[in-house]
Amino acid sequence: MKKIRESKEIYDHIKIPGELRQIVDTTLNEQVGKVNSGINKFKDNLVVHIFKYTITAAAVLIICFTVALNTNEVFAKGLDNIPVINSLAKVLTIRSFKNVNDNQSISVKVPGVELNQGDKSGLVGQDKEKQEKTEQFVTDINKEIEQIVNEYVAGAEKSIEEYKQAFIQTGGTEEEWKQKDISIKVDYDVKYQADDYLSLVLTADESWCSAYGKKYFYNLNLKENTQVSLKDILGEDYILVSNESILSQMKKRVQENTDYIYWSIAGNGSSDIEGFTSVDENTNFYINEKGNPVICFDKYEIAPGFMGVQEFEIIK
Amino acid sequence: MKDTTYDNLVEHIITNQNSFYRIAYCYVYDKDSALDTIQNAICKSLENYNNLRNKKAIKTWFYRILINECLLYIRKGKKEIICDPADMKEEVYYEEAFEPKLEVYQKVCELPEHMKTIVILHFYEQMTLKEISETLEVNINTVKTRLYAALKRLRTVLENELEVGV
Repeated sequence: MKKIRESKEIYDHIKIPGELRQIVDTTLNEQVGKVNSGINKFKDNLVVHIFKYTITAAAVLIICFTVALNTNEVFAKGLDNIPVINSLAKVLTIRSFKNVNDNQSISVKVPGVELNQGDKSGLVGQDKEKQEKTEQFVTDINKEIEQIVNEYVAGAEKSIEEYKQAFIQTGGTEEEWKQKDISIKVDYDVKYQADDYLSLVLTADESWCSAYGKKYFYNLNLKENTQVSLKDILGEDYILVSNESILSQMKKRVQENTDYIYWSIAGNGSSDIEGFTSVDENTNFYINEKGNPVICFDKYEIAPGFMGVQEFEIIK
Repeated sequence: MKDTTYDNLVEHIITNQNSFYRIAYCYVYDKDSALDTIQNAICKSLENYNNLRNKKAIKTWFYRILINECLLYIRKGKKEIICDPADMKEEVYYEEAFEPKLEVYQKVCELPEHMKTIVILHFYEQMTLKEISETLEVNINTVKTRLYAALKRLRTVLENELEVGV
């Protein structure tokens, strides 16, 4: 034993190379940029990973509308019904459940799109085909939403279980855990519904790590059976128009709030971290009641976390 | 809370980088490999720090990542893992009085992986057995067993060497 302790001297004398300091600093600085843009935060979360693939992969989303809704009629009757009149479709809570157990309380509302089903029997030929296509489209979307929600909840439950294990292992007690009141919440918000358009935002949160909150945006054109893009709403030069509007709104907000910072654009000490550069076809947005697109940036995406989710309305 | 954990992690990394280097070096025996390993460990820890909920666990958590990176590196079959005493003498400060200690140190490095980790963490990095059990995610009794087995083995090996007159 003594000899080993003495041999520590050799260990302590291992020569530390001059480059170590530099490498550590460089690696840390590289990671700072990545972490703050929120990308790496989500890499771990397998569920979110699946989400990203699901969303980008699906060009046109269609849902098993008929089956889903027949089953759901039972639920739908007892639950929140968003009444929207004179439009092609409604958004309903297709499934809703609350689950409280030892680990956490889960509250989930799964939205689904329901077409205001016209009398299909009278339709013939192209019209009938169109109607069927729309139904398919809607069905697939609902299916995707449901899948996303299920996966999210499963993933969240798993990571909370792991958290709980670590918590107990490092000395926590069951009572203390209950006091934490961990909760998983999935909810949705219908932002706009009129004529052929439908805009829906699905929000998923875990209360113990606000960084895992995720929002999913579905902007649908039910006549064309497509997802609406910024280009569709704002036109060919949507990038220029959006960027201009966003930048001027940022400047205004920084003026009104002295501690606001938009990385590398406005505010104190903003220069080093890369923040907003430009919108593109993947930028998240929803359509508000005025019919204007509202561009949404995740927490940490373009500004420090305390500023939360940043939204910018682009007036058409 | 997220941001403070992150800051603590960064601070921990900067403060203890020399320790990290020494540990890594004991596994890979090569300056550049050690630097690589540390770099990977830093990246992984910063990417995954969300999984760390207990602020106090930063130390054991980061060690876990570092050791895993070292083992990963070794398993990839890098040639540098071969512990050549001659090479080591060049890197290590060599002095007459150091000879016996050097020998012990070399024998420690030659121990099988699971024993070696525990000896290094306990004797060289001064970690408690409880901390080691958290770092390696094994039962504390397992840690004790392995530690004693390691000591016994070292004793035997060193006695043999002594007899042969190496």
